[in-house]
Amino acid sequence: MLIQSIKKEAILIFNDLHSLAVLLLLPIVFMVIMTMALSEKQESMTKKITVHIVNNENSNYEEILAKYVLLSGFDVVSSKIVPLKGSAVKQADVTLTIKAGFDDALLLRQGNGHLIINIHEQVSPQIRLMIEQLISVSLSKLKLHAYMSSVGDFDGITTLAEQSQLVTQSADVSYLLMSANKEKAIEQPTLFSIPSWIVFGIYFIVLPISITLINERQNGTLVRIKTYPISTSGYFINKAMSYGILSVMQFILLSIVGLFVIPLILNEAPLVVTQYAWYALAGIGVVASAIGFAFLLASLVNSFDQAIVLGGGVNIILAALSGFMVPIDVMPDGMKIIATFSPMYWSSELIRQSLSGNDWQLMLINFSMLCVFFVVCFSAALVVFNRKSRKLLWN
Amino acid sequence: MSVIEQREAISLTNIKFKYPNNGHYSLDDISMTIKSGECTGIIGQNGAGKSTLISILCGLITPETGEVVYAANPHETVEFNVKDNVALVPQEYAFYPELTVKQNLEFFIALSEKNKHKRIEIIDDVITQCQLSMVKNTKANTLSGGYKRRLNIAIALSKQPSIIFLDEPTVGIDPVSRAHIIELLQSLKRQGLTLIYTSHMLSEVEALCDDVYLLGNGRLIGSGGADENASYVTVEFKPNAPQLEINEIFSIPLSFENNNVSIKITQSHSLGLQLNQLSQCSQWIERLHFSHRSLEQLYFDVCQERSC
Repeated sequence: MLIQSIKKEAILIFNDLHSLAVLLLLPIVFMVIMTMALSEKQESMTKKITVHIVNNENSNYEEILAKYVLLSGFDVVSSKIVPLKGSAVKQADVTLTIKAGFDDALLLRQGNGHLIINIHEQVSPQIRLMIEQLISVSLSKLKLHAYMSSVGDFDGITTLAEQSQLVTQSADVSYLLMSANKEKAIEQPTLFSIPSWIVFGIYFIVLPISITLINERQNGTLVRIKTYPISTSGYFINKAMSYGILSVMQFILLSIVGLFVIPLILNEAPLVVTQYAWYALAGIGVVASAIGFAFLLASLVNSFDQAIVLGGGVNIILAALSGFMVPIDVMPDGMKIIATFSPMYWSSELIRQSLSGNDWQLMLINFSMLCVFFVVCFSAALVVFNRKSRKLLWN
Repeated sequence: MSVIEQREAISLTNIKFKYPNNGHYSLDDISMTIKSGECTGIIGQNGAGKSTLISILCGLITPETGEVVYAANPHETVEFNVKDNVALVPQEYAFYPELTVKQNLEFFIALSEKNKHKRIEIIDDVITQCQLSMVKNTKANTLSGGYKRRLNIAIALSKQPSIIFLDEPTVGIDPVSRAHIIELLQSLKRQGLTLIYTSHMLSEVEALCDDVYLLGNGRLIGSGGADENASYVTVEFKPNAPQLEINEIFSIPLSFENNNVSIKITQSHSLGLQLNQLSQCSQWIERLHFSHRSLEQLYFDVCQERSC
């Protein structure tokens, strides 16, 4: 019976393009997009930002400032370096306006607002922060440049290129820093995007489950099934097992795509499963929690509209709260706490930990949380389903 | 526990049922007998209580008072009997449209039969019986209305029940397909299956059912054999006809309206007796007029009489 049930549910899913789209296509697309977004290096981001330097006060430092801004990776439009073209000023993402007294104030620790920075309103807050920090670094180098020039460090060095190279070497602090996690997978952007969107796809099993349960209730199939020698609970558990097996297959497929295919396409290092047993256990935990949650929602809804709003909506909210869309690091403290209560968070963390080979105790905690969540949700779903089934009438 | 006769399939005694938050009884003191190997029609207007009655017969709801006894296992619950012995043919297409005819049958039969070889045998039989061979590998949602109705019945038959509940199994299909289904149901009757049939198509009920129960406002307002209610002979007696003497011949009091008497022709075996009785008073008969009152006419008359 289980085999027939799996066969039936698989045919139903494969015949429903919407279900296929949310179960496979949607998470794969998200995996690609988010991995691309997270793998964007600072150099490639700054290259796309145009900085226009306005020097109406004829400052002597315009060219040097432009050089350091250029060295920070920005695309610089300055009258001294590149002749200004028609609408270049309007198109610039950042405008630096040198005000009167800038040259005098540079080496003095006083003065206010001698260089005005104007960032275009369409630039996002995160990029705005990065621009301000990089412009500050450029200004620091300019100040060091002015100081080194005044104390005669550039004697014999005539070109700006050589002088700026010396300043950059003098300001370099990288030899003092070393990343403790440099050799670990934790630095891979895929590790943050892939597990999240695998989980997101698995949890969307709620839609096909809701559709099949609503259809069976509405078209008399469930009434018919109630006349067969199988209890309502037995039928419900059998259905859950069928969907569980289909979800495991979905997990395997999304894992292959996420761990190997997408990194290969995006020229990232593939994610390596360091502990297969834990990864398999993570898969079981994720699938169980998703099935329990999906059956609870599917039992509660009475129409397709409710299924889409409740099933789809709750999943998207949970994903947002779990740090899938906005990293948890940048969330306010209150939201960070909420995130730790989300089953999607436990699921993605469990997969992430089983990939990065970190803390097995934390893995065990997350796995246990998922198991408890499954038991609670599925028991509640069974109660709701049985109660609704008891109210079924002929017609 | 009611004593159940050999020929009875299901016996209902004094069934009362009221839905929560509903002031009146949806079923009020219903008693009936569903005979084994026959087709019993349950008719009535919308809201008369048909669905509630069948829900009780199927064990979907429990009556407040009264009892339902299945002859096959009289000491077991309704639910047990239904799971063991009964199949449903709901009015809706109660199957999976994305699955083929065969896949649908395979799924449903797997709920009741564990032996794989037996399952294959039953599916082949049912496909042949319901004339679905041509479409067995066709997806159910692409079938014509007639084939969908046949599949709905085929799924019920695959459970190999002895009792089948059918709710308007011919609704929304063309006359040819309807005739096929009626023929199929008649063949099921011949095989000895007990059919319980609800329909608004009274001509079908008349053609198919041996007994008919008419429900109105939750009460049983009429019952009888479908053919019993069908034919009448209206006798116009001469003005001097002795009513007392005629009553004696017929051994029942006839209701004279002026000089006319309408006599119901009951079952075929009593027709001879009735003709014999008529021949005994032939000297007083002016004219005879045979008429056929269809179930539909009867239904309207009873409904009008009972204001249901």
